[in-house]
Amino acid sequence: MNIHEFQGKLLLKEYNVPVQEGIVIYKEGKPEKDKLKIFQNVESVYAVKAQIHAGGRGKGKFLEKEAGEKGGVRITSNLENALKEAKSMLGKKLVTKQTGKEGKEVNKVYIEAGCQILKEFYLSLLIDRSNSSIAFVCSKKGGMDIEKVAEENPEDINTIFVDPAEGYSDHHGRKVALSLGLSGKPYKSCINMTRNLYKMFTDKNCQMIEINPLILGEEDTLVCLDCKISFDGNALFKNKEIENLRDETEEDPKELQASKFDLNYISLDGEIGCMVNGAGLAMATMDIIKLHGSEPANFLDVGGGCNKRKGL
Amino acid sequence: MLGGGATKEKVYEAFKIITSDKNVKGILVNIFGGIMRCDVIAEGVVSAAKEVNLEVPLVVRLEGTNVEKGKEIINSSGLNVISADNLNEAAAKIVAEVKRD
Repeated sequence: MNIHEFQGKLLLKEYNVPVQEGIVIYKEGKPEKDKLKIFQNVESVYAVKAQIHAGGRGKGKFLEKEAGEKGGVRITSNLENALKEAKSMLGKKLVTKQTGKEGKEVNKVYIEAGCQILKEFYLSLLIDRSNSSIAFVCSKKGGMDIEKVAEENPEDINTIFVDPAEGYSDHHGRKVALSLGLSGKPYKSCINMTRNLYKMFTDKNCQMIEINPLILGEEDTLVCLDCKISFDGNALFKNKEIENLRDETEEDPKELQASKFDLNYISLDGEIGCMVNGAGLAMATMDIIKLHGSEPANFLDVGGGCNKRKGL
Repeated sequence: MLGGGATKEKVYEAFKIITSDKNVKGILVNIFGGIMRCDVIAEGVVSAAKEVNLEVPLVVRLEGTNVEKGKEIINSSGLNVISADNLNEAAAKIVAEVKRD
């Protein structure tokens, strides 16, 4: 399950991982005046960011002309303009390389205090199944497509494995900090941050925490400027507060309905609806429909004879 | 009736989801009744098809436990359901129905 950037940042904040102050503006309703007070000491710029479950927002484009030429991440010099930009994005459809050509409607916009950027890094935590471990992936080349870095300069990416049975120790954090080329104060704060990130990762049954970019700002502070967090859907029952973060408007309504009834349903582009029991038989059914010259409209496994109610 | 009701509910929901997809021009139900008996599934399919007011052609292929009883339920339901004996035949029938429309 994916969550929005602003939800991820609230969670990071809970775990003492440094993020900038920000507020969410919803499509419905006006921004509350007293919430804007958190910005009263802000002297620098503001970042206005469309909240959708898709990457590549900055390079994205809106379908509607009224939303302006710029993408889903905009920098403004004052709060008034930030609110204006937010308003122009709300309710409009943003197309990025991950949304498909129909785009995704922006229902929430996050306004965040900007900050000075001295250096940009990449840091993520994920489950490495082949090593049965949790891996910190880090690179000095932050702020860009990590896939591109991996392709062109794989030597710039370092991976530090943590055996989940042993757990995290500060030597893992020191390796992360060293591979990011940090020293002094940021070196120490990086170790604290990796410790907190690991705790959050295991506490909340994350599948991935990606911070890109992690930046080095004024007074040698580290700040997470963007984050992408996803959770293991099968562990949601352990973390109700995470399940509450689910944004159903971001999901396929048919798939959402199916998940409520424990059906394995995946929507496809064809014209023949399939209802099959067993994943293997469902795959074979889709194959044979194609063989006869048509296309399946969905994959659907209604499951075998076993279900929750039967088990009671 | 343990499980039967739950299966009927699942089949009903599955039907609703499939028919809510505007691209669907035909439905193929392909169930192998191993643990689940074919007659129970047939009952679920028939009642679901009646309840969701099915407008597209429906081909049902059943195999496994109580298959004869299941087919009888399908054939005597009064619904416009096309029955098939194997997967290949079922696929050929539903594709033919969809292409004809």
